[in-house]
Amino acid sequence: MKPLRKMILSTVLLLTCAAPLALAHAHPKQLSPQADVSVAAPKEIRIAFSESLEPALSSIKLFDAKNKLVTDKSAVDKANPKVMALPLPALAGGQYRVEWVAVAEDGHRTSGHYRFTVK
Amino acid sequence: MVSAASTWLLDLLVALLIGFSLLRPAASDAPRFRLWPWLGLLGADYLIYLLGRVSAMSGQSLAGALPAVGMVISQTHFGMMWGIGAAGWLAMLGLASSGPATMRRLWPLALLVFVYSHAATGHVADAGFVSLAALVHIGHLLATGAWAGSVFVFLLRHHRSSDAFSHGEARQLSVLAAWAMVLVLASGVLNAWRMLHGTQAPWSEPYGLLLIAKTVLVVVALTLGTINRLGVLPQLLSGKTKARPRFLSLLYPEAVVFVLLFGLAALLSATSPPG
Repeated sequence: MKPLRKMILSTVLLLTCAAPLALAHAHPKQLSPQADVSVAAPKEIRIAFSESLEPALSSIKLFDAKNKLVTDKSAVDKANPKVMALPLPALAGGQYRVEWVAVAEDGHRTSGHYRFTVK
Repeated sequence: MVSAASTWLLDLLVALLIGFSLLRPAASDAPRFRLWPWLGLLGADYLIYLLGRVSAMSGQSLAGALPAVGMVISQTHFGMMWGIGAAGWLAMLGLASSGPATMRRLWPLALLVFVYSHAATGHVADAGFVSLAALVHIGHLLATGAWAGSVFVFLLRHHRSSDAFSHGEARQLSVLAAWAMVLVLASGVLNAWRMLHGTQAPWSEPYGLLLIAKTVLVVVALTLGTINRLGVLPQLLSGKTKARPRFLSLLYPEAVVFVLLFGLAALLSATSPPG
């Protein structure tokens, strides 16, 4: 059919002006607190990712040294969907493990974990 | 794995539908009735594709992902695009049972809606659903579908008898495939550039290796198509009897290469680009 052929042609003509855009699945770019550091009790865990996140499927969980869940009420920042934060209760001294799951808008899931210590 | 397999079948079926749209049917054909089984298969695969993607997104097994389907459709970008694609599929289904005039007018639009929604659920989603990156990808899917789909449809129509197709049909396929091939190469290079731009040693990573394999297969398809267009088609048009079966026999390996190409494309869509 001719209309579809015209659509293909016009689409590709537009493509000649296309600029490259770097992209990937969501990977952490900035951790707060950082991995493997010893810090005063933080008020929140904040992770900035390389891509925008799906709030319904992305999460941060915090576990203590006994592997007990401390909190998991994380949320993606509405103003900057590349950032996810987990507000924290007052943390006692000791080692903690952060587990994160990031589902990017392309639907791909990445996950990871790291530790930090509260002085 | 389910997600990649269903993406592979989805791409094959979309190519077939684009081929149906672009290749002028033979006089004895009744294409609107023949669309039903392919649309039915597409619908079933689209549901499996949804479940496979929900499973991958939620980190659950296929059965475990079932309760999350509603949430994914209503709360995620993928779900929104899947819904738009489902609307496109329903429109195609309705049009397949409508009169030829309505079918001719609206079918390309319904198919384009489906292709757009499918393109927008891949890696380009990170760049935005209404972006140049999405346009490049849609162009790539349409052109690939036009090239591969026209070969598939031609073989489906004429595999039983090499005498059944006219010179005009062979020439139409050849011209269509040649144009589509140019667009596939242009959009493919832009796509690859966008995905790999600024990365270090992308060829040592799975994404880069898959891209190399895909390029090799494109070169094979290109070679087969060129032999047919420059070597066999002129003989066929000049009336040589042996040219007809030779024309068809070169389309078979080309179709097999396309089936493999769509498999690699499905694996690429499930592989993280180098970051």
